[in-house]
Amino acid sequence: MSDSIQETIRRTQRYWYIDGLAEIIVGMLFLLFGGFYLFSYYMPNPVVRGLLLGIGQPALIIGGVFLSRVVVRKLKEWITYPRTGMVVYRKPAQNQRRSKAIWAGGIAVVVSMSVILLQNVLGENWMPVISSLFAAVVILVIALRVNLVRLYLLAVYVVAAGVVNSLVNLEDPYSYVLFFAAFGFGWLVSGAVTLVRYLTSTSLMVTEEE
Amino acid sequence: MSDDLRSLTDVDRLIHEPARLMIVTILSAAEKADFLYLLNETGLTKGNLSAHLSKLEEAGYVEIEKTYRGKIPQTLVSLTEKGHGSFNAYRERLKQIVNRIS
Repeated sequence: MSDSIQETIRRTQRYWYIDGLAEIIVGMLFLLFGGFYLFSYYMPNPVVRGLLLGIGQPALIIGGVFLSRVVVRKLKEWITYPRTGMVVYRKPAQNQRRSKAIWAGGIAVVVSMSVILLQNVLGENWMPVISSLFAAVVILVIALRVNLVRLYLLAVYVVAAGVVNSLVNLEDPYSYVLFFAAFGFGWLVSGAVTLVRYLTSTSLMVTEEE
Repeated sequence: MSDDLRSLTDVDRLIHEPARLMIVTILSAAEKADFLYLLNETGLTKGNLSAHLSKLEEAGYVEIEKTYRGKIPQTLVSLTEKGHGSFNAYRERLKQIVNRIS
């Protein structure tokens, strides 16, 4: 009985991923990052190029992450909630958010330093593999929490895409563009397949009352 | 009756009922859920679900909020602090019983 209670809790946590919408938006974001990087790289003016890559890209990433939450919520209100209902998840408490931000910052520093160290040891052509391994770890953490099989598969795909990218060993900017594109494509396809399955297996409920 | 069997009767009967256990478990994992989500997840009929929610509300375990999503009525349900406490106590009691039996 304890197992079924735990599984019911996990199922409720998994509900966020039932429609694939979050994955579709993440996929589109990564494709956007790749496109923006390519666009910025070929800017003829070096000052503009520097500004776009140095300030524009990080701003796009931060803005994209915030905007994506709003977009996913709006899409769920339109598509998901009228079909299978709405779940509002608990926001972490203020002190939990602070400690999460500190942990995230610390991990980002460790990851950056590891990447620089490994780049010096292994060479730049192995960066896609290393980056994809870190990305896969993040995906695996989510996958373990909600026990969603397709996230495990996505983690494997991301590592495979990183290996292929390293073996192909394209020149700048195409190596990074390929990394973003492959990552984005994987998320997009995973999300799209999930959305199609969700839409074909559910229907709109007009009203909840009897 | 042995002590182990007798202890099975000590659990919170309100939560122990399978449908209500499922409702409370779902609500423990979220801030709130709407009637439609609970209906889909529990597989109960609308009348049945309403009846169980009323019982839980009477006991102070859940809070029910009637609102609208656009023009469509929506019922949002959340577990109260008392409900959380009772659910956690129920889980703890269950673990003790299972450990004792095994």
